[in-house]
Amino acid sequence: MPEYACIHLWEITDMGHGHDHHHDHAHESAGGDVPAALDMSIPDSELSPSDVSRRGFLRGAGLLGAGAAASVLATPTAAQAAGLPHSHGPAGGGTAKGGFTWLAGDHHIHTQYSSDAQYRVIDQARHGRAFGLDWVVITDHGSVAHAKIGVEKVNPDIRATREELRDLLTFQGLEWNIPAAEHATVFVAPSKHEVEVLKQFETNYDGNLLPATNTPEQNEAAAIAGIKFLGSQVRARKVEAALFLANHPARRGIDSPHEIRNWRDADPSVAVGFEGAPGHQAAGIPAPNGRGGARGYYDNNPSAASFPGYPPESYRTWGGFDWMTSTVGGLWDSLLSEGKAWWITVNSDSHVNYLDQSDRGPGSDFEANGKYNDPVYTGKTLTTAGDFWPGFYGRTNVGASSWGYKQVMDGLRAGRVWVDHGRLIKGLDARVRVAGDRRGATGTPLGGVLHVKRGTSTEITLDIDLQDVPNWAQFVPVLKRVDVIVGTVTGPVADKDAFTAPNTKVVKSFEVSQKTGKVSLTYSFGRLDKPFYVRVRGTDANRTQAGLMGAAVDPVGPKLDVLGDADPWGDLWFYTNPIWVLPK
Amino acid sequence: MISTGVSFGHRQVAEADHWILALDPAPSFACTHLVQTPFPHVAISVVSTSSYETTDELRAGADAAATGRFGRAVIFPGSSELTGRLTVAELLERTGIDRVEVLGSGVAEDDAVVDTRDFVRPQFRGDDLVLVTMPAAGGVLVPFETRDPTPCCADHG
Repeated sequence: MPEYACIHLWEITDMGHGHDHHHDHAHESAGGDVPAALDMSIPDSELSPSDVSRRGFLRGAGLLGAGAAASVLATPTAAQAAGLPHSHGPAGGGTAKGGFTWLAGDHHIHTQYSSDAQYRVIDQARHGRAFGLDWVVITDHGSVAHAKIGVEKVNPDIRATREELRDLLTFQGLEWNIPAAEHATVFVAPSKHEVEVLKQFETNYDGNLLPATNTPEQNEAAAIAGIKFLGSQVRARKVEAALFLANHPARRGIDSPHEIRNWRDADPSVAVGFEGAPGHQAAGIPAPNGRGGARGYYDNNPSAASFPGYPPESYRTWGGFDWMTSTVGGLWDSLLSEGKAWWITVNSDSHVNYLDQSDRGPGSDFEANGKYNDPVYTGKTLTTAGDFWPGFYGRTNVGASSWGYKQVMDGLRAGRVWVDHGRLIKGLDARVRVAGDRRGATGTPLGGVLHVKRGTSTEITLDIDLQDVPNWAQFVPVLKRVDVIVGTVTGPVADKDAFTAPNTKVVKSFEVSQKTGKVSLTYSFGRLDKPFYVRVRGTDANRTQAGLMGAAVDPVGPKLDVLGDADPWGDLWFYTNPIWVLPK
Repeated sequence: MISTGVSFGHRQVAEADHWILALDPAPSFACTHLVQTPFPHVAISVVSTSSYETTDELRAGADAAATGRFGRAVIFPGSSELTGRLTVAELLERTGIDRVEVLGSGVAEDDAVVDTRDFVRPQFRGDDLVLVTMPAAGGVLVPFETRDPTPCCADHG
């Protein structure tokens, strides 16, 4: 198995595993066999210039300290104060404060280099830009043809797109067939090595290219090795950053809870989250004007490869969202309750777009060429296509320090992310504060961790810019309700296949009657007595039902999508990522 | 009548269904079971006048099916009559199904209409044979399990 890493950070941060958790130990002093740049007990001032540079690079890449997405309990003092066992690995959740540049994007887009898609890179990018995106990730399917030809062939198109659309950040990635599991977005920061890294990754770790005789255990191990490989490429400075996001995680029931936990724990600077909602949001538009299928193409059933514990409810979408995200007290909350930094996104998964009038170029030979010929106009309207153009329906909004490739990846890694469908709202500023502190430069943003003394009063402030221009379906969406969801942080779980969070529920619903301008909401958490996290959800309130964990947990949650009758524009939601409040 | 566990290592439930539905004489009861031994696959339990052989290497899966709960019924009392549309009350009266549920909403109303789509695969929960349904276009319920789910990497056109 090829490994280019000079240093395996996960091995170093894992040192001390298996020890007694009740004794004192300093996590940042990792022992004499650790390279000086990584030994945080050595101050910057005592390092050689090259080690200072290396440490700066790792810190900048989010691989050291608080910038990396990991466990919010990674700081022993935080865990101790919370009365919980601490986790290993870098501390999760950003410590950044203040305002950010919010950049909308889509991390899951296919082109003519996927066997089931058809558009040029520039087609997807131009539409994404026109529909308001700042960044896009090209993610063609991992396959034999893609690994052999497609990864290289798509790169010149992506580089040309970067030149042509200077105000759009166009990343190269791929849709990984995770061994033993579903698909995932994997992408890297632009670099002269981007093709080399992606090609090597796909060749060695794509589920479709592994021996068919592999056992599920061997495949799960290969998935973990793949994620570690990506981290090793960052540490070897082949690419500045690499990220992994699991796609449509509940679609077939084959992403088991322990696999999700293991991916994240393999390298929390790479594996940072999953899709909160799948793409293919046009697939439920009623026939004859639409496909009349299942929203998100979520119409699968349990198979022999599925995790047996998942209920039938998990195989369908709820208000357009994946069950893992839409269920209050469900799988996502289970991870957040553990203190695991794990983020949600939305995307288009665009392959062939609803109401487009093109088809693959004639005479195409995908297997031989690794691509379809350029699409041609047919004059026939694709009412049976299930996808929207990038940016047309869903947005992943990332809080970046400024406009740039690395800044988007840093924001994603830090969880400064909120998502919406159909432009339900225009903008969102969510911060957790010490009660009464309204200074503009303070407040812990999405993805962050606020450490305060036990007994301190805290609150969340939400400033929501209501939508005032029509969305791409030509109406101005109306936000009717905002739900505040709170869960107690209970620390690492004993059972890695746990997928419920019994202490998480909707604690407050704000009815929104205001129609224009900015809505400012405040919810007080009272004095801090136990560690918790908060996440926020909003809706047009068109389709709701009691949540799957009962009305006491979620009285007006998202409704099960109707097969063949799911107008995506008539059922809009936004979701934020969490913010933690921990005693120090 | 003999109750037998049998396994041919089918990877997909559709393959197991196909084997069951081709049996002559037809069994009086047949279920599929998702088993993990010796590898994840679909094993079968059959109640029939005939007996069926399983190779030694798949014996563990066949045994798991024979004793397995939570079977997914392919042939069950009244299954051949489940075609077209009928009310929940009619469905319960005509078949061995004990209960019809709506995904995420509990027990279905007696007068709700089920469009069977000629493909009904209820599942045992404890001793009860339960048909889980979901709302579909036209105000009807349809079985949770669809005959042709979207394959991954489907042609999306």
